[in-house]
Amino acid sequence: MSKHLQPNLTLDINQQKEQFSNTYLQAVTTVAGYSLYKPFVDDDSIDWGIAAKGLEGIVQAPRLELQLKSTSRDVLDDKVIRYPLKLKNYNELILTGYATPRILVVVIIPEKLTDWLKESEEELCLKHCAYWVSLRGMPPTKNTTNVTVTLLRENQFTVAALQSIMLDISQGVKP
Amino acid sequence: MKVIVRDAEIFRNIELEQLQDYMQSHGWQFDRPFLDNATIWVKQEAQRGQFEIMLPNHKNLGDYVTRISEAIEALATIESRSQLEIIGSLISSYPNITIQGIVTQIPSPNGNTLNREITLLGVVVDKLRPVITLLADYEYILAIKAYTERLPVLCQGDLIKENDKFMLKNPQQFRFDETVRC
Repeated sequence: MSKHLQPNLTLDINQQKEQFSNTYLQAVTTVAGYSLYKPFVDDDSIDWGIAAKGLEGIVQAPRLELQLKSTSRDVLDDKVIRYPLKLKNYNELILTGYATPRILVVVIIPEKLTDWLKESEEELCLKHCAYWVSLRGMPPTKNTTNVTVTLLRENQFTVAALQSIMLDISQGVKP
Repeated sequence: MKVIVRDAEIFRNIELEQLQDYMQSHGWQFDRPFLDNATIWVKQEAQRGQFEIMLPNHKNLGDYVTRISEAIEALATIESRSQLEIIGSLISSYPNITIQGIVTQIPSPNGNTLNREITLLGVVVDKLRPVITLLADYEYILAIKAYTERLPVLCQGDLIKENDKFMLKNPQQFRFDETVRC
């Protein structure tokens, strides 16, 4: 009986990480009072957009778009996270010529799947934490595959941080 | 059926001025700039409320296609029209397109010159539309055969709209469409 409870239908670990980071983003965005949208499929450097929801599901400004990454690797330093970003993503995130501002969000996830959630009657805790950085205006690189980008540990992608970013955007200040 | 357009080339070929003209003639008004590279347009609909659409400032922006596709999607929702209908009224040029259709008009050869303007009835974005193109020599003879035998054809070229008529400039590779059997 028990073997039937473990079907071969489970996602592979990378898909699980992707879904988990999507859920993390959804939770923070929802509590912050904004909605998530999927941008046009052609754009592979943007995973999600965050906006105010207008009438009949049409999104409204302020708007923010982001690339969402997750990792279980040991990327944490005392003060920073060093994340190896694909060159193509880096090159697109450093550009200034966009209508909607773009950031990178990295979700740090525990290595063991059983540690991802802390569950009890009182809480459902998603571990560990997401961080954000704007790479807009960073210099081009001569690297050929990856660029290690630095995210400050103080730049946690929290409800308050997202609300502050969106407020800034609505007042004309880009992240 | 609700058709969602996902072809980036179609959106890339929509001119911002055309879209702004369309929106203004449908009651949209410029409201405010959004950061450095976009503007917000609004429309007040009785009983539904105020809608908002963001337009990019110019075609060179990295998210031009995304923003235009969003705007078309929003217009389709707000106006209860299909995306294809809206795109069909906005497209004024489409370089390097292949038109599939049938020859509906072909003038007789003019003296010894084998080049005349023919009319194809072909699908442009959302519906069958007449497309005029100038064919010469062998391609003109192929067109006569296609017209008399009602054979479907393909022709590549640069589509432009002039005085509400579609013209296929620089026609190339005019040929019978072997994929269609009548």
